[in-house]
Amino acid sequence: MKHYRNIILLVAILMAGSLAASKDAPTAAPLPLTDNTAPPYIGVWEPMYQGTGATDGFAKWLNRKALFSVVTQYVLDSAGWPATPDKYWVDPQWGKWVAEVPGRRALVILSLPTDSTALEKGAKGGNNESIAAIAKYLVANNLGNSILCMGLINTPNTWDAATAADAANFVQCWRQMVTAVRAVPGADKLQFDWVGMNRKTSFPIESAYPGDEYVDYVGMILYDQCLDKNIYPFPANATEDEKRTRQKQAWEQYYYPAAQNGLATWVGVAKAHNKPFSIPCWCLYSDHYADGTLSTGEDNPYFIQQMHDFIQDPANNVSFAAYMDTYWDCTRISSSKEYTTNYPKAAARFHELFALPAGATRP
Amino acid sequence: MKRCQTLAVLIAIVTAGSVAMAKDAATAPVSPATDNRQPPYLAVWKEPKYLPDGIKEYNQWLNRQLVWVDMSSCMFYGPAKTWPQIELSFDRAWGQWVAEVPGRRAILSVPMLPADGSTLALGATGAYDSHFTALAKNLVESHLGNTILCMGPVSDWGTAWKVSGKEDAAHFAQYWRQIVDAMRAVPGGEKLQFDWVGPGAKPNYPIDDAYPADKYVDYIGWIVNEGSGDKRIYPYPAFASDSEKVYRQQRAWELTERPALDVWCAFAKAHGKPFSIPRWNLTAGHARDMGLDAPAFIEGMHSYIHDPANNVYFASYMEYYHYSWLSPTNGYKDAFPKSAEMFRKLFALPSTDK
Repeated sequence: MKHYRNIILLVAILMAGSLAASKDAPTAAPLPLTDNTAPPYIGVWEPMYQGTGATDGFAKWLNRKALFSVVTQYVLDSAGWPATPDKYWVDPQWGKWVAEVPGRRALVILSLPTDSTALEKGAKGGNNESIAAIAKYLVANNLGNSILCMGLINTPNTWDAATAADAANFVQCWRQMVTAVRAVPGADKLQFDWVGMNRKTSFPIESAYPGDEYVDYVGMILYDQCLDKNIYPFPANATEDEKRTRQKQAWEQYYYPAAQNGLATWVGVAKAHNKPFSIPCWCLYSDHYADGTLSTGEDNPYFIQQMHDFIQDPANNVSFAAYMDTYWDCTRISSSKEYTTNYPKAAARFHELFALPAGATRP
Repeated sequence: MKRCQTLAVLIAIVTAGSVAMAKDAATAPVSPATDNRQPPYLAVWKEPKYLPDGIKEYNQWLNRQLVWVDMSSCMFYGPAKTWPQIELSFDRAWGQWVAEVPGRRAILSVPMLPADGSTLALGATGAYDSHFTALAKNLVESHLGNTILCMGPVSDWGTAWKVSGKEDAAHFAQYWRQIVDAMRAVPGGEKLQFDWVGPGAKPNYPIDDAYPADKYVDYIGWIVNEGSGDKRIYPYPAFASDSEKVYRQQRAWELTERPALDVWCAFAKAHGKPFSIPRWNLTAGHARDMGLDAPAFIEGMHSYIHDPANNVYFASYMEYYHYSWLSPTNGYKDAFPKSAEMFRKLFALPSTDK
């Protein structure tokens, strides 16, 4: 019976993937931009040392009042969780910020401990106490309606490094944690986003899916980095046309296709399970190989355009998408008094596509 | 005259800076690594409870025998609260350790005031001389008469005071002279040496005003914590590759860490003093303006320390829990494995050279 169900799911995923891949342009009209009165909700991840100020600055740039905001700091560079959640992990002021304007919501990105031993421990409930403490902290700080975005995401290669046994433990670990969170009084509005990346896996992705009753959203993290050296770095003295061609190749050959576990794969999983899709973290990027060249697409308005088109396409049922604006000279697309973006063309496109027209902002 | 001296120092600093920049391309000559038979001498600070066995293990880790020790307990226990804590801010057992093997030497990072309301101004009058006489006697009695004392207008070094302005700087300089005179006057204290360590933040007073004069200073030093406040560098972006992390560590070294060293190295040169690095270390903590496990910093420091042009007399690495620990002493799991490997690769001697 279980096998049978898996096969149906697999077929559904493949169909969804090929359907999505086969259409070059969205068939339905793109969803209108709103000030987060309806999905797709737009979000941002700003450097947390600036409190809520940088997020408000980003909102102002886009003529918006309501945004989703990633509120965790320094979570993805370590598989470790805080023993006791504190203001260094999520600042309590975010509770007030969320409550101030409808359409705001906090995203809490949590990388799971990902080595095999840690997953094995987690499968037996080893993370339950920590995740329950996190849930209690969120509830106590008026962040009880946050979305916990979790997955094997603390390093880019976590998904491809995991084994089938890890995937099985990951599923058990996830179920344990969700059950532990739901047992916390007042935590019933916390939701769970199951997040993947565009990395190949040694196991069928479905075997790492915890089950519909444990998942509220299916999501994907995507940033403009492509390790195919035929694409990035750009050759020396590349023309703008050459750059655009390669940026397009990165999207068409790596970021979107199901064959690369791109957007098509994860949106397919979401559809097969009848879950809304999410992109809790997306951005332009900058990353150097040891020889000093870049594995990234630099100032890439094409990526912004494609992401916008994907997010606003009703067929993809995107519930929310948050731009990682956090890192100067790497991901930051907004500018402020203290910093000017490295990506002027992409920033102009971003503004053109995501800023609300006058009068569309919440009162 | 004073202005003229400041200008000369400034010129020296600027010149040294550009020389340092220019020699990047060429391969700088490197002082040979020895088991502390000649400068640059290698030293380490460890938490008191791991000593002295910890220093043995540390030596073994680096195939050495003669690594010096910073025996200061104040760096561990926080600001000294009372004068007796300053008068005996080390374990007397280090005297035996030094005496056991020729070539060993101890350094002592000592706060100049306890957190009991004592002031630089009073110190300048000679009011605290007796406490430093007591410190010198304690050192001499403990067979530690050749210790290097590291002091200075640093604010983060087991001290609860700082030089707060031009007037205070003059007090500081005079107080320093009082201390040195008092300690050198103790029989057997003639070989004590004094390391003037530059302030961490940009001082709000002319630095020359806080300099006691060359005859009261044996070394000029500077403390280095890995890190950069430049937000283009740290924190690392989420998902950064290992090569990107190294790239950023190198940027931190080139744009922030080395230039700061160059300033004080040039200051030492201008005064004709050997340069010292009485404390250097990686850092960890809540504020992520640092590279954490940063092997490129270790590499940069190693080449800086061994560049004869910098005339580094000694450099002491601080091993402090998860905060900066590298060696596997006492079974402690190192927090920074890549840096630990790099440190060992660069600072360990081949097993034959003992």
